Amino acid sequence: MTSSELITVSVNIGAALLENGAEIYRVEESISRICFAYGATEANVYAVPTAIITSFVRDGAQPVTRVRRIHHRGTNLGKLDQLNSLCREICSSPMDYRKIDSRIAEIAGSCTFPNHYLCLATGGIGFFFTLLFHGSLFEAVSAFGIGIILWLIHSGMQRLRFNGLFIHIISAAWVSLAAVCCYRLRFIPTYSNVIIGSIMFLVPGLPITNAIRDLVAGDVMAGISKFAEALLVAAGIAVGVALPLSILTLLGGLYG
Amino acid sequence: MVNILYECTMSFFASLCFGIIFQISGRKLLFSAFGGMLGWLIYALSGIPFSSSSIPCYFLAAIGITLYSECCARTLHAPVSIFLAVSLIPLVPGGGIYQTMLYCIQNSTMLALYTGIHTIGIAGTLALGIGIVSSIFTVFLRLPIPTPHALPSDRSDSDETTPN
Repeated sequence: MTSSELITVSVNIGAALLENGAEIYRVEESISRICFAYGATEANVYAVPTAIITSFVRDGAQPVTRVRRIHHRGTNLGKLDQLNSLCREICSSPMDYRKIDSRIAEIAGSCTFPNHYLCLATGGIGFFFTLLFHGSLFEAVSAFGIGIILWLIHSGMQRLRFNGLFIHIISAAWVSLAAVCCYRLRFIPTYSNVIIGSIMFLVPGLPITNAIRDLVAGDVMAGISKFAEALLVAAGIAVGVALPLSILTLLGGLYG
Repeated sequence: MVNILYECTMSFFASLCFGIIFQISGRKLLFSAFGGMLGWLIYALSGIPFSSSSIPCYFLAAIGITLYSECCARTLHAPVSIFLAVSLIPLVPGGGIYQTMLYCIQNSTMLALYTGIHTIGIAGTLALGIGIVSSIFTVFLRLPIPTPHALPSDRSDSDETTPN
């Protein structure tokens, strides 16, 4: 494998890991392990949530460097797992460039669960969390319905490339508006359980986990920026839920 | 006791749904959902001795799920965050955020502050629990990165570099 092929492959894997929600140390370690597996004598990787800088030296040659900007990040732990095992395979038994490239493309196109499963699962999150917080069966059923439409709103806005904070505000506003409507139609006795159950889908669980793990691993910059992102999302959810509630209180429609 | 069992079942299914959203497949999905149940079980059971405050319960639960996730990751050869992120979800204080916001718009500032600080306390406790166990595991079980085998080669390629 030539040096330019090696840097393309390793940065592609690193970028795919970062885009699917890996921690920073995993990205840096994967890239440098791949470089060492193909005979690099020195490899330096610097990754932050929005960029990767890689540079390596193979014996007797000039150093090769590449910068990759990461524009949008999502959560797909299935792909993350597959990329991680691909990286293990490469390090234990080196493959040629074409094969690795086709494997990366295959993983990028893979899909564990189709969209209607995700839609139902979002409804299921609302359903089971409402029951977990001791809501009645009627509350759980309305949380299920709210969750299904919540997924449609959330994924639709993501496809249109809206700002992440804005997506969370609108989604949370939908949850509280729909819950208050169900309450006013006398379908459910209180709206709190339904709102708490349904907004669990929006709660930034993975960013918080990764932020802590990055801070522990010593990647302070990445850890703090991910923490700030998670706090912003939490504030966005609170604002989104508050919006319909306070407007309805002003109009006098919430109680009565 | 029946109550705890009911809550654990619900948190299992809630975590399972989260695992589907995160696109985890097969055996790993079941293991991660089981982690969510384990976290809630530890939280609910430790509520019996620590009845005055919920903070120690969250701390014990965070330690429990991190240990579980690290062990799962090592036996199933998968990244830790797959199990940890899903197991953590039922413990995340979503209700606390909601209550704080509700008191805020009802103009009860004292209650909002009280709930807000309690919520931040819970989040910090979870972070601390995960952090402590993760750092112990990183110290003792990190695989060494292969070191460059020949250092003097730096000198040989300096011959090729063109002077600027």
